Amino acid sequence: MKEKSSEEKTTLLNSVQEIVNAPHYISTPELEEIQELFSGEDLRTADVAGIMSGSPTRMIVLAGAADAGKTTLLVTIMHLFHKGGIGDYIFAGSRTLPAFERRAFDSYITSGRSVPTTQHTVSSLDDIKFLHLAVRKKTLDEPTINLLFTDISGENFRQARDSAEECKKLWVLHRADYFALLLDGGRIAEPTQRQHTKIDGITLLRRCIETNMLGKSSYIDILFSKMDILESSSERTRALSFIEEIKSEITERFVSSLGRLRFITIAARPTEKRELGEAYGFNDFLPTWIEESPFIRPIMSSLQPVLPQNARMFARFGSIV
Amino acid sequence: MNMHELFSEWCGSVYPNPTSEILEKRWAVIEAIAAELTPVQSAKLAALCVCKATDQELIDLLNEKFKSDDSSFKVRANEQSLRALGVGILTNKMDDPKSKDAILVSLGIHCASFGKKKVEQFIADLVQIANKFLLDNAQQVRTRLPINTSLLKFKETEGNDAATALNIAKLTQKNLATVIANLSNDFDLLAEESNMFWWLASESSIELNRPLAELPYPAMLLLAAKELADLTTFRPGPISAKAIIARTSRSINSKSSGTHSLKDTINSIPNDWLSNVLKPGNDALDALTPLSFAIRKRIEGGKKSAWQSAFTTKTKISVGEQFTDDELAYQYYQECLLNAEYSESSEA
Repeated sequence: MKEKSSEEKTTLLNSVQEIVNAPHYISTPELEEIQELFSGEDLRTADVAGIMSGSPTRMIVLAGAADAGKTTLLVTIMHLFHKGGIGDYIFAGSRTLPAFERRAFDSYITSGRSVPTTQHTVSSLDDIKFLHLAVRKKTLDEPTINLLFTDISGENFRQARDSAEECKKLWVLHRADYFALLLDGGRIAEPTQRQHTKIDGITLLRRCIETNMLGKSSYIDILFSKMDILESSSERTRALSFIEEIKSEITERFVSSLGRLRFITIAARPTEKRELGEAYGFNDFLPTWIEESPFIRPIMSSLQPVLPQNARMFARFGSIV
Repeated sequence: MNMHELFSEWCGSVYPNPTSEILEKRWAVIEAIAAELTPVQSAKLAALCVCKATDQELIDLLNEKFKSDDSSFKVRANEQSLRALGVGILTNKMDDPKSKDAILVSLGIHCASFGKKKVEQFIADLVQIANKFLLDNAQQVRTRLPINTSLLKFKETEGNDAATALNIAKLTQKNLATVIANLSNDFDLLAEESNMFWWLASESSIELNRPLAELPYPAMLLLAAKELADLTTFRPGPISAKAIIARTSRSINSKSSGTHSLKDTINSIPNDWLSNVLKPGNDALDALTPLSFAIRKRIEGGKKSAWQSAFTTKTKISVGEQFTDDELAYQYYQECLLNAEYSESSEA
């Protein structure tokens, strides 16, 4: 190829410069709306507003100690939808695919590790991060439903557990459709760890209820994670009866203060007891996370009129029949 | 007007953590829109909120109003947010004693909720507010106004000139007009009551001049509902309307199972009733009035099955869904009242 002269080079450079300096778009309100692009990374509160204002959204707060399996749960949910969905629901998009992928990277077999691990969350309560997943019924006759999962670190929950002030910073709890508290089954299998696991979980719940961050309109799922480790442990029997103890205590203390309370045993990616299968127990909670919400309720169609003492029989006829 | 006590909850479901500043800004716009909205637009807004029936003109109007107040207001793919804010506008209409569309709005919301099992909290709240409004107003409009006869007494005055006499005459005329208006209202109330009572006792159709028992069932339920609506002078209808309808269907057809599917109900309507007796109602209210819409589609489609797919697509209600006879008749009664209210409001 013939080399360009210096004059040609200057002209070319000037042209490039003009393109670079030129306005990239005409600034009109309509176009400003169109330019709303997502990086694919974690969403911030402002981004979440855009999603929530568009179509029905379920916000799910994943809580638990560091290493309880919150991030693994998230990655496994995404994986399930990649593989074809769960129940009647299929994948309908995500604005945070790279963020999911980044979290999942370490868990892939190609990483060469024998035990899957996931990148843990580091975040601040002043700027909560969210991951987004859109799902839809296979029949496509219902609108898309957005699932927004919070990605709040175990350290943040430890602070919330220890301080009412910190707990009140968790504004998402007010809006949450589900508060999923993960209790590490692996730690419950360890005699030296199980009491801590129980106390940590119960204290966090108590703190959230006492500060009115959770209440009568809150749906709580207690997820006993890593059940594969517990099931294959020599402490299995004692650990299982300890789980029953936790269930009884939580039910006794908190059920009357909450909208709904469920206990579910799960194993996201079993390594010990593989026959449990991937996403063990997910069918027991994931479809309901999509379909049910404390913010969805039946219409109260029959209101009873309050009739004055001197109401005519014409009006009373309605209250008699 | 003060911000509705539930407004922050409604907004909380479509905005993360809305600040009080944002809520106040939005409420100010809501009040301005509520004051300007025409009856037609109010009906469309009720359809958007409860049935997710979109009307681009209305959406553009709402977006423009909210955007002009707050440039950060998202105007695309914002249906949920407009529905929640729309609930605020409709509630404002029902709370405002000066509002002329309050009955139209509340009837529209009530009718649109037919067949809906579970809805977003802000819609459930809206329907409850509308139903309460209908109950309260049904009694309020039927409250007998006081007939104050003391107004008709002449007052002794000192003057005896022509000007004094004229003033006395004017005052008496004004007082007399008030008494006559209240008496006339009283007569209308009693006429409505007695007409409904004798219609119930007669167990006959006014329109067809035949005993209701001789008419096809369950189509008869719709005819009875329509005739009761025609006898309703004051809207909303009386709180006893539901009981009157229930008594009619029970006394006419005690052998009925008490429930019918929409398909069976609409298909049982004889062809000659479709446009002459029941009348399909106003097409602008299609989203709000599912039974009237089904009747319209049956008229348009000709065949008995032709209306069904259009109905399910529009209303998201399965034609096979079962409803009690009372539910079907009461729904059609309210739809007839809504149609009448809409015709009067849009003419005005």
